[in-house]
Amino acid sequence: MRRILPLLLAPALSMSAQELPELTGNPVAVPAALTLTRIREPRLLVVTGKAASGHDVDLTRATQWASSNPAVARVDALGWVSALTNGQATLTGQAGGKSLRVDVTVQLPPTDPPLSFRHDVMPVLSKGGCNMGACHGYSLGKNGFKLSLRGSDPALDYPAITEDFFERRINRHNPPASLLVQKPLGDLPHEGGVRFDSGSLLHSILAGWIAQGARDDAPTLPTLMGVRIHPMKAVVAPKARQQFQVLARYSDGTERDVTRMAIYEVNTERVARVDDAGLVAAAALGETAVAARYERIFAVATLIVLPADSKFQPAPVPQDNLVDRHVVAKLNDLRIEASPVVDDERFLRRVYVDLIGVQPKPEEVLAFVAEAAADKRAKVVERLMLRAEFVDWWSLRWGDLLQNSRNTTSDPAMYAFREWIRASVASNKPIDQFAREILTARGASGDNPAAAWFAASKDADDSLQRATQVFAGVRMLCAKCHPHPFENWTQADYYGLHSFFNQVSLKADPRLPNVANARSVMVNVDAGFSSNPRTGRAQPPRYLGGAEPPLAASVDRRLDYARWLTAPENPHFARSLANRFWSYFFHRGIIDPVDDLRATNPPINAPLLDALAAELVRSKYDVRQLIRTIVNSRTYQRSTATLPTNAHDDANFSHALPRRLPAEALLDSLVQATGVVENFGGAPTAFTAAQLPDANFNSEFLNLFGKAQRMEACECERDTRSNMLQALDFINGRSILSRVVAGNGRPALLLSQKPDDAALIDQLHLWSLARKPTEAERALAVRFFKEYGDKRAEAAQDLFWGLLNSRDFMLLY
Amino acid sequence: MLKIGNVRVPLCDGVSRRSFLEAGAASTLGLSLPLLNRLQAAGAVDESKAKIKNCITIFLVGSPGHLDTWDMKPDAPENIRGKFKPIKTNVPGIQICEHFPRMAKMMDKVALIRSLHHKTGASHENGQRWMMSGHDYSEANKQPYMGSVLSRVFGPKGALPSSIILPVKIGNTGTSTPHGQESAFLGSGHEPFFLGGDPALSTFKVANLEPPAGQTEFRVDARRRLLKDIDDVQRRVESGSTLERDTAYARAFNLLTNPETKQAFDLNKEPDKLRDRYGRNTLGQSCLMARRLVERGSRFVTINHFDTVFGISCWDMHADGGSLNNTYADYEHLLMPQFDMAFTALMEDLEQRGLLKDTVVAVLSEFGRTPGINGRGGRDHYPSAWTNFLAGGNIRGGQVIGSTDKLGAAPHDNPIEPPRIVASIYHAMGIDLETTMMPGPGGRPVRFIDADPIRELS
Repeated sequence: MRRILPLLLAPALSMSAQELPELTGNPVAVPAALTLTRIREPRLLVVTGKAASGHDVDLTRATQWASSNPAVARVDALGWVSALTNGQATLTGQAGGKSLRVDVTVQLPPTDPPLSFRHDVMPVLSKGGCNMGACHGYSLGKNGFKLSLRGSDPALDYPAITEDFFERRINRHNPPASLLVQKPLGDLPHEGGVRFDSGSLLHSILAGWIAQGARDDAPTLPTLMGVRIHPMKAVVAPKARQQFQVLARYSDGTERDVTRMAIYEVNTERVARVDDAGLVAAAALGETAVAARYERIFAVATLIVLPADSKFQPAPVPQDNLVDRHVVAKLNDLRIEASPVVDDERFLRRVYVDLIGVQPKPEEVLAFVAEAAADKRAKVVERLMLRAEFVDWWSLRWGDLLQNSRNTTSDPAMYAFREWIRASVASNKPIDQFAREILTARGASGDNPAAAWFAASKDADDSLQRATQVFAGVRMLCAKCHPHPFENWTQADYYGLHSFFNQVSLKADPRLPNVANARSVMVNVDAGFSSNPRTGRAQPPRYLGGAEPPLAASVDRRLDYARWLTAPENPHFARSLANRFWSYFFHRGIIDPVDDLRATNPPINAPLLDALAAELVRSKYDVRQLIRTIVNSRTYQRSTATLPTNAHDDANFSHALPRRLPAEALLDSLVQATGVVENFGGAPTAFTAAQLPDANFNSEFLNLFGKAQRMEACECERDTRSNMLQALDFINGRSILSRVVAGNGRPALLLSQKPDDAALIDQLHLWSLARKPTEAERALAVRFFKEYGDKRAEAAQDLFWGLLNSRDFMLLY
Repeated sequence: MLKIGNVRVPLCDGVSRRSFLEAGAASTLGLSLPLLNRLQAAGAVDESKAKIKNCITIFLVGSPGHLDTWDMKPDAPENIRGKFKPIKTNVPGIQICEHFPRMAKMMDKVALIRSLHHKTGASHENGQRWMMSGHDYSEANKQPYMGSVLSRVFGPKGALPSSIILPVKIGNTGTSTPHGQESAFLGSGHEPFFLGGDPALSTFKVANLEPPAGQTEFRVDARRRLLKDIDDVQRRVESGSTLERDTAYARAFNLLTNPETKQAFDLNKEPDKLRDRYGRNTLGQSCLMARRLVERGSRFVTINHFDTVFGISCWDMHADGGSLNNTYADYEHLLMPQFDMAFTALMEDLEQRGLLKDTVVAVLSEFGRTPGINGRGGRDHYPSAWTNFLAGGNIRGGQVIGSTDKLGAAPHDNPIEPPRIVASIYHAMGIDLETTMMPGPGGRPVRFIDADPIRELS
């Protein structure tokens, strides 16, 4: 698979003590003391020091170790301690002019225990990549040999290896002739290529296990309880390296060093790369998670890469807004400055589009700029939250997430659910209540419009996946068929959720006969639990995270799920919603993607997310209060312009990120700018794009600009990227051209008031970009008008076309 | 971490800095050097270039009867075998219809699949969805067209769109359900680019690339200069979104104005003799244009041989005496000669230019036609058996895959369903279907198609 190990190791090995930065304090070795119990299992000593600059310095390979008793234990140049015979030894290390010591006890059993299929061989199959989805982990296997995906099911893999194929995979009489060894070594043709070298650790484990008889594990085999990674957090300089260590803990209390057998991944490769041995090489400034997987368990560490020398002065941490407090604290840690707050015009456009889905009109811009009140930004936020368009905009967002659509529900049910959502938004219904009402709804749309949510589910699978993704930000689909590839969820977790939702069934709504898709949500409280296909046994309801609540018989189990989900102490609900709402204002979540919360995808700023979630709970799930907290922060109001220290940062909210307006906001702003409406077939004439009840109104514009089609409960369904076909439409198609030349279009309306050139140019800018022109833009426009001579109307149309095609209209700055 | 083609799978990552273009093709893109530099600075240029082949699909909308074309049953009763006779081809044992004399001479390059069938409805749209996407999907569960998959996963190879459909969209073919030529969950940036005009007309222009009516050249030009000036003034901040927007505009303007790019669509650059060889009709000239487009960087070009089945002479041979009155006469005097000319001209031309080994040519239809001739001398829709064929790319020609029974009523051996044709096209383009993924609904990585390529084809 990845054979970059020797390449990466070479420079690290050559690092000598002279190249080390000056250290403050004493270096620390982990573990601080060692007990070795296996002759073939060395343990790694990870040594870390602190530089005067504040950086962590990995001394693992720079430490010169000496053993007081080399006959008992010794250390190699990479920091691995091997046991030789029973006894005690003291290891003394020298690194960067400092010394450290580690006591070692060697207690070997009289005979070396045999290799375990589960704890030794299975990790080899994972480490070698044998059970990856593209190889033998593929659902149909590969070349007749099928393994469970990523080693999820040793009980299935053992017979596949030892029994199938006439036992040719394992040759007990002549172990080296086993296909299981010869194929990955490349000694026999192998479509998957050479997976490991002769004499490597992976080879020796596989060959050793076969030589020992290829035995299955005894039922008394201890189970893996947990995996941890050290260091949990490292702050390093660019080009530095950091060795990580992975430790596995078993049910019998023992611990093994599985650094060599874990599988590593970084989530931001721009920042750092990791090799097969857990050695991370920092590349560029920034932050990344380093995830290690061993068997089925993940452990995650954070690596932060900071400039080596910096005259950075930490900014005072604001105390008046929880957002700014945590963002600035994190930026100080990263030695990044925050960009200044943006000017009034750009702030206003940003907050209008984000809160009500349309940009401000000229008179609103001018009035706001002229307003003297110190708290005018906070005041405009309050005013916007009372606007009708606020309800349109946030109902649209919820309609997307809840997939309210005539694809899946009837026409009357879709409209009723739309009104239910709008009423909830308008009354600022606490979000926990909103979620509970949806997740426990029953009956037909005439009884309870929220029941449309369940009516849109094909089955309990659909319901549990939608509920988990929307209200807990967790994607469970993968765990339906196999353990989640990036998370610890298993099929027991999946079917445990399934059992909360499997009492629901749909039948035709008797009050709406002959109406397509008109359905009533029924709950059969006597339905049994769902069956886990892996075990074949009924899986009792199980919350995300493992607890299985005792539930009375014949109850609607959804009630318990909804209660658990929206309880203040629930670890998913408030956190995922705070994260989701955050993303609506920053173009990315604190955890991103916002509906993919998992251990291997940690938040970029955990205290910030925790504080926002706590604030949401404290405010009794008041979404407007959450929005207020976010948009009144300096963090939200920062300029997109970058500073030298924050130009590389696109994750920590040190400056705003330009982003394209969502389809509906773009169209509604275009309509407002030009004064020429868009007609949607099937919707009332005056409907704005944000008011459309679902995505089934044929609108080429909205499709082109990525309106969510409501097929998926995923934020990613909305596409806010730019593409060439959009540009062709804006340049050459009807969307803009026909509007700017229209008799009732903005240029014609303005000209009818007979303004002079300066006023006309100002107005065209205000309507299109929601700001006055800069000096350069004004000069450009004046020159453009001159070019057109007496064709002033055409000049106005074409200038307006240019402004509507410019970045500052299409993107939010 | 998963990769899609050469590209990391952006699992719903919002601002994704995927490859907007490839370094090797940058010069042909006509992007300004400063923009190119800025893109490179942002890591947007993918240095790796996808080594996959191209595909030209001739989609026979309406669908020819297999018994009248490539799966003849001369020994069947008269009301089944039909009017035409089979002829020998240059491959011993393979016979096709007498009205494809040119094709018969290059049978060694063509692989016929005679056991195609599908099991959903017999509407044209069912078949269109099957053959264009490999799925018969519903409106609520759209699946992407092959060209959109190619565009999404492998990106543009030059200034031209990756996926182009000639000459126009499929319009009314009976029901108002999808035609299978849409990007579905892959996003609007990967919708096919429709030419929107008939390249056989002397007045042909690419509709989307012409200034709208009433626009003077002066204004078009002035606006373009204006936008460039505004862009220069407004350029303050770079981010994934701004680069994406700038790239989109640069590519659009390149298509609109770059004379070299526009030439891809100009058949007057081709010798008259070659144009004649393809046939001076919509199909012939579309095939010629397809070759020009593939030559200049398009990855997947489909020619819709007809955009409707109503009121025109086309493959939909119901002979109903009304708007669907296609008959044997249409086949014999118009459709088959046109196809024979165009298809063989395309094959020869590609081969002479050394492009055939890098270009899969697929001739597809929605279904076959009933073995029994109807009361008015026509044949009706028949999804239970039909023949399509592949050539070029990695396809081994001169063979027949599968067969139908004596009456052409059902697959006799090796029955093949549409997903395997789609898989075979991808495979023949050199794509490893077991390791190459695309972002599926909700962003999770999915395979292009859950079907195995037909192994005998390569």
